[in-house]
Amino acid sequence: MSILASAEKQNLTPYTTKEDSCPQCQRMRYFNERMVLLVGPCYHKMCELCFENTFASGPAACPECQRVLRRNEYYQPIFEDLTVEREVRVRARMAAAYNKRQEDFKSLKDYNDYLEMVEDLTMKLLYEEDTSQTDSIIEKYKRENNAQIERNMSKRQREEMIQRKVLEQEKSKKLQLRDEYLRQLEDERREKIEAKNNIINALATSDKSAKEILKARTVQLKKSSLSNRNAGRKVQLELEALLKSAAEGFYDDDDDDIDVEEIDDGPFDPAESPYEPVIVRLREQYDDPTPAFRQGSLAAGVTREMHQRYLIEGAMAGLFEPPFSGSAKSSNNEGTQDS
Amino acid sequence: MRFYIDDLPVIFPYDYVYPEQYQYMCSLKKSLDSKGHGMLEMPSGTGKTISLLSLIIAYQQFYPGRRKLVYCSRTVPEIDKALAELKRLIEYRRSQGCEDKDFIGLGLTSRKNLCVHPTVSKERKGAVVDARCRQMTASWVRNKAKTEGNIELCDFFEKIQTLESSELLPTGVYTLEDLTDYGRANGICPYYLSRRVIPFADVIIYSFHYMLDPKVAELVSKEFDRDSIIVFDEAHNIDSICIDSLSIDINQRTLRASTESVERLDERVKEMKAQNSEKLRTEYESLVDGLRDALAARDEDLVLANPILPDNVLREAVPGSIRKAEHFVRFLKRFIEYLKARMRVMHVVAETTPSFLHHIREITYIERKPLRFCAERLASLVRTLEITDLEEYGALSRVASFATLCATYETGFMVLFEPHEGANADIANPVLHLACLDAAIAIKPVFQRFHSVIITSGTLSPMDMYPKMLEFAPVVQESFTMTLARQCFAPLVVTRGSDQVTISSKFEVRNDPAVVRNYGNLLIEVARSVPDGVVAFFPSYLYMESIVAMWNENGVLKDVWKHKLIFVETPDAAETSVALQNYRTACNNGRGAVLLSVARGKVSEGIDFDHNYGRAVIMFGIPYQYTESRILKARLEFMREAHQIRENDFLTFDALRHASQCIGRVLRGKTDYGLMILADKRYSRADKRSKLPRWIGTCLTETSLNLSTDMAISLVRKFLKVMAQPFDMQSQLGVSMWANEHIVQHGGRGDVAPMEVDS
Repeated sequence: MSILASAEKQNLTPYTTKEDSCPQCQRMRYFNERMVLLVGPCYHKMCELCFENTFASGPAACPECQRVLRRNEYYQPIFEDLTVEREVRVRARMAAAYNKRQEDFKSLKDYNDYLEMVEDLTMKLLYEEDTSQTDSIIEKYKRENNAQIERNMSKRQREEMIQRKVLEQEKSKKLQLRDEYLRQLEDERREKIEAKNNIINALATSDKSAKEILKARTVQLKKSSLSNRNAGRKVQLELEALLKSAAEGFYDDDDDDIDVEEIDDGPFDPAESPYEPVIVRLREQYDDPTPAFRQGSLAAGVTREMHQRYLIEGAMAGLFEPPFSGSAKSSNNEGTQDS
Repeated sequence: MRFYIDDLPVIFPYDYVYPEQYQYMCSLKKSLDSKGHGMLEMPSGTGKTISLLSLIIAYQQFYPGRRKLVYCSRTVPEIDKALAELKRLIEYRRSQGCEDKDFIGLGLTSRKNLCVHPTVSKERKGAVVDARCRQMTASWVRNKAKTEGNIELCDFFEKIQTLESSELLPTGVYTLEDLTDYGRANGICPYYLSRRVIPFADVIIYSFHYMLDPKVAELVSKEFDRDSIIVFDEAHNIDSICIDSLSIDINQRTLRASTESVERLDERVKEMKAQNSEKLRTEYESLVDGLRDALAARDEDLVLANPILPDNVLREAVPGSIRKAEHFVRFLKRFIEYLKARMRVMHVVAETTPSFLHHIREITYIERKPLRFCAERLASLVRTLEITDLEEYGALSRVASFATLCATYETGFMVLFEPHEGANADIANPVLHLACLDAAIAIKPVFQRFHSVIITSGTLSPMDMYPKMLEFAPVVQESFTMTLARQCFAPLVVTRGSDQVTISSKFEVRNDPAVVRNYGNLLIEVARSVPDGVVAFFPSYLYMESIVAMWNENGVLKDVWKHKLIFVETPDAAETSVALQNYRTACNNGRGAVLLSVARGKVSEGIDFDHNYGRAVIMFGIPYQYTESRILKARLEFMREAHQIRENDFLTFDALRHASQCIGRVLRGKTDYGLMILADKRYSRADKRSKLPRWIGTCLTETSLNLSTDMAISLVRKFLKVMAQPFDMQSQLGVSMWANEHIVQHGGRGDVAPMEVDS
């Protein structure tokens, strides 16, 4: 459902036409402007009322294809072409598994071959050609490349976070510049009025000739406009330097401040952990001096691995940084370590 | 006449040279010598083109290296005019004993203008001519014709294929007409002839687009030397041309048409796969190996060109995900569906290209890289599928260009989505704009590739704006005024009506009855006192319509009719040309006429109102752009940030360059005379006046500023009385026209002996 969440963010509205009608109850949009058509994983349409009726008591079969589906699998399509709708979901699945990057390959050609392979698999899924075989290929791939997938995923998340930050910074910089510009305009305007008033005062009160006063004023005006312009530029340069240094610092020092700031405005999902996944791979052998690990000192039914896992997970729950950074680095825990 | 500039003998095909022409040539030579860019402003009607040509030809023939001249102009008539001037110049040079060995000068324009094929040339639309031409000249069609009998080929094109490049075209200068005549006489296609000859020609004259638009520049202008001299004439709008060449609009019709095209592609791919997948496989293999040379097919076949600049094209293999034809078709489908979904949003969205790309990835899993290759991949596919009816794929290729541009440029562009057209928010007509904000992007490669780029026009003031906007550093930057034996043009700024109500086209007051009435009275008075033609310009079609309707009601038009006929420019080109023709007739037979036209329309650019066709031009108001346009706003913001150009500065600059274009129409040469009436209160302010070209600005004296209608009319009468006196050419000599002895007087060298020239 991540697609819908982000679609909503951009206000991508579901696809509707005036000719819509529900294939089940034959209701038409002509009579009900607000009719909502939903599709499930089999891509057969159903209006909201039919949907409520069909799924009133748990999972039910799709009236068209008799596939048993669940309530929460239905949603409003956003694309006109339902094959694209489906393709996007297939791709979401593929992207979760096949997320290798160009730097993971020796040559560009290998990478391109890999991309094409992925595309072939996607097409197979999409056109439902020997699905079971494809599924097993994907599963196998997933199992084999688990670590890399996780690593690339976190890499990607990180990149996106950085990108988002940079975009935000640029935005705020723009706003600042704009404010500065408006302020400058306002200043100039005020100055002009002030100068005008001054000159009228001077003409009214001083005993100098009018010509002299006017002459003095033009000189002053030229100076002030010049300085004003320079001031504007200076402010801008300073601002840019500041932002630049901030941005550089931001890239330099690695993790802490980024990881702490979780940006997620999706709806609250209790099953979703608020933390980035910390991936820990257990090694076959630990040289642990503590007696708890020695054979025979464990309670019945508890294996050594379980015990170790329990200890590690207990130690890390709620922490943002992986513990034992020294030793963990040598294990498979690069995902959160490099940037 | 002949004279020297420094050590360079110049042959000038007239008996006299204007002082400003002489100075212009001096400056031009300076910039050529220093191999730097130049910016030169010289009033219209003072023979800019001939000075340019005669100096550059002399330079080219005299110094070693023989630098090629590429002369870019705006419209086809202007190109033809320049070619005619060139022809005259070369003939004159011959008569003066200059051989100019192997000299070839020619122009290039679209197939539509050059085609000589008996049936194809009858087509009216350029796109149709292109398509039909391709149907007969594409290499696969020709290959097929070798084996199968009944395929129509173009004999003119076939003939050209048999010729060696040396025997294509005898030396000389060819105007567009000469070219088609030659083609017809020899049975050769003039369009391809011109394309073939361009690499060896000494002078090439064509439109801006062949240099600036990456889609065609790659095709036509790739092989020029670094040493070539590039001239942009009438370049006051060059920034808009740069921006237009990289901007794309997509509406719902485009998307619908592209969906259809994708379906068709899909079918073709399936069909081809079913019967012979040989071609698809060869394409695929060439894409796998990343052999870009395999892509760079022969020029006749390069049908859908890449929309981005050559510097930004990724020189690597097409990404694997769109390598197979069917994958690419799915990819296009997905992209189009995404755009369709975006089109349904009912509020305005403006975003940067990175954020657009981010969003598209989130929703459809389309990565940036395949998007970058979209246009190129499509071109390759179309070629492989041997599709010739390309006009059906126009919409799709636009979408592909959109994708490629979006994915290539991170800054200087904006993706803007507008659900409603204009201000009325009731009618939904969603448009997706990819707006280029930075004029420098398109022209940068030109400045980088060539040593000497000359930008010239009648109106380039204020001169510091262009280097900033286009990001280049001119070595020579000059503005020349017109030297006149008599003051033959009079700019007048009318700020008030006869009843002392200020007149202005400011938005708040423009429909005020008092302002409309005073504008009307001004027109009546001018029509009464000025002979022959009068041209009136309005800031926009909308304003012209409303004001003319009001004039009709309060009887202004009737009063004008007593003195002159009235013609109106419309957005329709054919209608306008009929109006213009009748306007000319009315001026010729003495009835006199008023032409109401619009400052950014066709008439204001490129149509001359010389002599009796325009004795006065009235500019009603200041032709500001429509400032509520979001694209304009974004561009202003961009310029403020990137080039430190203030919004108001740019808007005023832009308005005044159009105003000065309009009023410059009236004066075409020194024997001509005309009035320039600027009817708006705001013209009398210093910041507006300072942005007018120097040659107009210097003539704006205290007496001609801040006039009311009656004062202006009395000045008009006086001016016309003076101008109506017989004009003695002799009085110009030495002042506004120089013979050789005057050049010597002013410190130059005249009198070039005939033999000195050929060195």
